[in-house]
Amino acid sequence: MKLADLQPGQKAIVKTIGDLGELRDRLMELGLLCGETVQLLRRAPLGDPLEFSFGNEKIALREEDARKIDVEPISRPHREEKKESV
Amino acid sequence: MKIAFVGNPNTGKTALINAIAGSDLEVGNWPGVTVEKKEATFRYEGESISLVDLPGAYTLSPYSIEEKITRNVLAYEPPDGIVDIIETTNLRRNLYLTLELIDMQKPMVLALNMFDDFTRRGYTLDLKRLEEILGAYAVPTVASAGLGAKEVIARAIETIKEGKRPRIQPLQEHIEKEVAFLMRKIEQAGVFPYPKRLFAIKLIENDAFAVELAQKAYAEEVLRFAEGARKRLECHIKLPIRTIITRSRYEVIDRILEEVLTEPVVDRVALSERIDAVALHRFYSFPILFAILYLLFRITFDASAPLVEWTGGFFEGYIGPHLHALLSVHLPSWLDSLLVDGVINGVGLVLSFLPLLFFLYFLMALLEESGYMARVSFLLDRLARSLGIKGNAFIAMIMGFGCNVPAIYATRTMTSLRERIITALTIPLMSCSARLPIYALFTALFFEENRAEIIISLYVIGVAIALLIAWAANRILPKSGMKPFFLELPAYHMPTFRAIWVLMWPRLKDFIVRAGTVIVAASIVLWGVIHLPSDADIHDSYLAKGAKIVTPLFEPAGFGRHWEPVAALIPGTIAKEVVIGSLGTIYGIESVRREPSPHDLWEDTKQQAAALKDALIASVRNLFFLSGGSEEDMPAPGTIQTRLKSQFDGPLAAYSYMVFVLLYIPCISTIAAIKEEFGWRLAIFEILFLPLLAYGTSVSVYQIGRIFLS
Repeated sequence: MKLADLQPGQKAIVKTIGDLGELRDRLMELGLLCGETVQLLRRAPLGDPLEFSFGNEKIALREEDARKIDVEPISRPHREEKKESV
Repeated sequence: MKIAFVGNPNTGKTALINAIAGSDLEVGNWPGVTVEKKEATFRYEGESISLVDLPGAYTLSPYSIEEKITRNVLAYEPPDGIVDIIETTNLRRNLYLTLELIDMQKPMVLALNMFDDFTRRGYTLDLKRLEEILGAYAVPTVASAGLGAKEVIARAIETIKEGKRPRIQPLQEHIEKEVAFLMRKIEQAGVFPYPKRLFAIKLIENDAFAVELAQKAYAEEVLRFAEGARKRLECHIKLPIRTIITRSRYEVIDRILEEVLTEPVVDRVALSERIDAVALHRFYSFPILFAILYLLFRITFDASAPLVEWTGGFFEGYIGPHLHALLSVHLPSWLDSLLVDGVINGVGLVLSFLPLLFFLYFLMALLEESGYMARVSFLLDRLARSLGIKGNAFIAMIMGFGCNVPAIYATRTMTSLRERIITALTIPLMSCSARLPIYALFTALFFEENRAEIIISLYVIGVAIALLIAWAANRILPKSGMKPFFLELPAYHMPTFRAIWVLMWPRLKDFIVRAGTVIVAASIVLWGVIHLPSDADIHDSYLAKGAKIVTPLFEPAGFGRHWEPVAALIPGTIAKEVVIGSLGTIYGIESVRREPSPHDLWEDTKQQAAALKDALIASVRNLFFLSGGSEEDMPAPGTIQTRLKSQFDGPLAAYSYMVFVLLYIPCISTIAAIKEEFGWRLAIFEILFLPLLAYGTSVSVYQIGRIFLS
């Protein structure tokens, strides 16, 4: 599964980060390493970009880039979050 | 003794330096780029200490221009010691840079900033143990309140004097072996600007800068060995080298944190997330964004209007006449005229802008400090995507509505030159506040019924053309050096006045100095073209002669019959609002100047003081009651108005003229900013392209309008 496929509120473990050039190094330096838990917080109102959180960090990536990151989901989408986004 | 302040972005570095150095803080630019360079020199126990505030950086492998500067300064102008500012609430990520800095093996002190926030959220930290592990002092600070600043500097000086270096935090065993061996090779190869250990690690990481350093020194042996080391590690651990090293660094960090950090059992649900649930909400976010932007401009214009008016009047009606009265006795009349009409006019013009920029910069800094600006990027990025730019480009454009000059500088936070150029091309088309007085004058004359709609339509034309140009530029410019969108959304926090001031003051000062010199110089030149040759009639001046030649060209745009409005456009290149003043001069009305006798001085001073008080009261009132009074009350039709009205054949021609004013060139200061940021080529392109664009648009507006109106 790709990072971009997560539902808002859903958590996942990072498996591999694909070819994002320098951004890949940057994400790792910020702590987005394999094995780290990452959560999709929300999509921007216009559909893109997506906001993620890991550790204490909150970052936004575009969907095309979030497609290059492989993850393993560890939770079902939060109901609570769904309610909020309605 | 030189101390560099290094840290992640948004950690309160500048606030800390400011708390230490106070008014000694000097703001300039890094050579070659206009990233703000803040420096302070002061005496401490008989010694001269200089502090340098390096731009925020997450790591020493730069992603943005600002990070590059930080890395380069550390490499080429190594400081005697480093103060590493850490956002304590984000310790893990901040320690990454700390580890890289430790590898530089310079005397170093940690400033654990925002410590109050950290304890309030229920975290505790074993400071003693952290200091032991890192072999460096760690001082808790609250920079925004100035707490801990003195201790940081005292500890830094102490550390430097003792020559105490931080303790190296060894990476994984395999990596360390390669690093140790490579360091020996580096030693044999000679002296490099990068500290040995960091250089070795960066070479193994295949960091472009480190590799280039080695290539420049023809250190073949070193390069060959680094490549070997990289291959051995990748082969052994079966991961790309950057992953190996980054991961190893985080292992070190997590080991340290395990020893020193106690996390709260339940971290309080950050208020930030609750704000974002609304501020980034699918339906509420855009109304909130528009409301904030509306308030931003409304407050800026309303609150500054009385002060702008007062400043203008102060120079024109007080300083000017009195100086003239004083000078005309002692100086030849041409020199008196040059000083009063040229220099004082220019100074007055610059200063009359200050209240407006003050409010604009204040509110912008407020939005930046609070963390909302990052949200603006997040919300608008989707729109920017198809133009080859990113969400932050809109922040620069919005700023452009206030003033194009800071908007050009705002592009420097972007990650690629390509994005910066595309954004910079759009900015001159953002109708800045200086163009507003012209619209005000013309709409009052020609569009009494629907002034607001007409003015808004001009803003819309500007934005529409800007987006078109961005779209075209995105297609034309080679798609190289593009970097993926990446944005950090910092936690919201309540900005302090001090923090805002530190952010806005350099920009304000920059405007006064930079724009000031340009505008004053240009005012003098302008005085020349209006008053020369000889002190003859305005109709025989160089300006009039020049204007009369080009005027017929504007026939298709609807204002090609009278040379006066065309002539006023030329001084308008200095600053748009000059157009009105020049019309006054050209129609020959302004020169009727009251001749005060010296004993009026006291009376006038009292009057000016009273007017200032009224203006301040009005400004504060407008700040809180956004009720009315924003529509400028146009004075009863004066001579300019009647003359103007007679020179335009109706509203369409006037509209075409306003469109031309909107587009034909931003102003000298903006062009200067473009030149400084992007070089002569882009500046010259703008000088040639914008007038053509303006001409084309005006002609289209006039010709198409005529078809519809006839």
